[in-house]
Amino acid sequence: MDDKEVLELLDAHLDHEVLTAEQAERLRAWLLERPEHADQAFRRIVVHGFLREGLQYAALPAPVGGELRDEPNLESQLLRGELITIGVGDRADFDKQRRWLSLPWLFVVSIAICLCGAASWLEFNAMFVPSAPAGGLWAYEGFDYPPTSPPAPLGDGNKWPTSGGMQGLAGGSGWAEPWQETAAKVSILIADVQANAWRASDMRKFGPLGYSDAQGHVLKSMGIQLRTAAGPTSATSRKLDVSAFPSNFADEHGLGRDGAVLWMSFLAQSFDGRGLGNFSYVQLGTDSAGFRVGKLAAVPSGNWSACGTLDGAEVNVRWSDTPSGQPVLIVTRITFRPGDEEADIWINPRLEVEPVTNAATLHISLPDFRWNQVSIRSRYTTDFDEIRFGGSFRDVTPVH
Amino acid sequence: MEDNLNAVPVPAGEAPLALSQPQIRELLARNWIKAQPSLKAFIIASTPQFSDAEDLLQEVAAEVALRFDDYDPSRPFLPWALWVAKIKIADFYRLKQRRQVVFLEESIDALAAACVRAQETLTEERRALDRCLAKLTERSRKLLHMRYFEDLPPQQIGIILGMASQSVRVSLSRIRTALSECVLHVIGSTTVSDG
Repeated sequence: MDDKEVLELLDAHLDHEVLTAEQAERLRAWLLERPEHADQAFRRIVVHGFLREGLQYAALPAPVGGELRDEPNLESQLLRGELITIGVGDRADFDKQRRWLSLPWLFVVSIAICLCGAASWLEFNAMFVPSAPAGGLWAYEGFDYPPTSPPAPLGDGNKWPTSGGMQGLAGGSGWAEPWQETAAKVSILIADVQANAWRASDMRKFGPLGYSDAQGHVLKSMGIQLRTAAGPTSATSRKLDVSAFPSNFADEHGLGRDGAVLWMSFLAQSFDGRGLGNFSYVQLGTDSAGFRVGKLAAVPSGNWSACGTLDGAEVNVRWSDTPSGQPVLIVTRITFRPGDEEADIWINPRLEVEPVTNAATLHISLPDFRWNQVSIRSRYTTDFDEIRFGGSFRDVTPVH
Repeated sequence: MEDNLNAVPVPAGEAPLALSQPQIRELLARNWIKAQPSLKAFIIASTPQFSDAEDLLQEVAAEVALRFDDYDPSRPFLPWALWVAKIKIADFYRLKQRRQVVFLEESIDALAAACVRAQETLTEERRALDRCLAKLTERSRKLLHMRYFEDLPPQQIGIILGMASQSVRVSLSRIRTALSECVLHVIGSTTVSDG
């Protein structure tokens, strides 16, 4: 039995087909025959897992050319075994890339980048930073739409709505397009948190999201809030209107030109504090390069956390001591710099004055990124409200 | 099989490192972040239903956190976490009153060993896969979308596209083969030049 046949059996298993006893035995024998076979099988499973992980939210990356060749008729391709082939151009392309990865070069280039980055940052500071940053509330979403009707059935994630939700809703200010739902389930809008408690233990049933600090300052907020899906998964995204931001805030790649300082705030509370693989976060930018803040799958405690994204992975993960079952006001300041960006995150700050950097709950470096989209992704039902983007702390934390 | 499950990794025989609670939490988080993709792939091999695999991964994470005091930080984390995963997979099948996937019963250790070998290159492979995906044909993209985004089995995809489910299955298999070869091509050319 050749490798191709065995891998087809493994694929059949991954596609939920029940193997016959004879097929299972063939697969077992092949797997045990040589460690290379087990490696091959494991890599196949990894591809399957990556495809699921990467495609459960949204479309495939845009095509870049026909190097994996297409043919018009699928059935005839199958007969000829020519569905896909890899272009010969790849090797030279990859070799070219490889030369850059030679370690001595990498070291020299890294040092050069650091020095150039530092120099350009100093130069940049000298030239531009002293000018006063442009203030104002640039974008706002209070989720003040009618509640989703009928409400989601309680307690059973399998019955969570798979259509509608935030799709096409276009309220708030500073946005370029309506909200888009791009995952198997959708986010919904909740008015009565008590009547919509997911289960008896739902920590959100005590009241709608809101925040007042220890000195009695109350954040401006209104009742309706967004609730992400229970069970896998919801991904609710919206593009920002770049023209609503100051002109010196963006460059040709999007928002976040070097030197820009962004303030963002939102209210959030998860069903409870459980972590370990559950997630529910706000993302700026993309999986390739961006910023996530919320409940992150990689944080075992499930506490409110933040990280960067780079090439599909969560990087530089930082977590707080605040459980995600507790309602919070999360305020983030991102300083866009030449090279990596810098983010300070305050959880439940005092509202009277801008908090000092030393008092930040989390401080992280982020990969260099530009953005024009906000996404709320979740695999654990969580409420969000009052998302604000602005030029100062006061702009994103208005008080009554 | 039972022997394997009960074969707790041998303690180091040294006094465990004295770590504070915050240090332990940090160590757990860092180890988990690194091991999670490998563990997930290992679990998918055992329970191809994605929702089962995702739930099981959470069970494994909870168990890892619960037993973390038993983990010897001087030893690699992934083999220890795989040992926990194997226990949870066995529990999963026992609770569901189903028989563990037949071919896995004896080859699970071989896959676990492959999982450990592959751990260091998974990030690179993920990056390579993104690049390879962008080269797929429109028809292949459509099939993958139906299989992974809509989570449809081949039979249902066949009904929608008016194709035999066997053809869908073979198509998906060939797409995965092409993607795997493309990924190896990328990784391979990098490794060769590492020389």
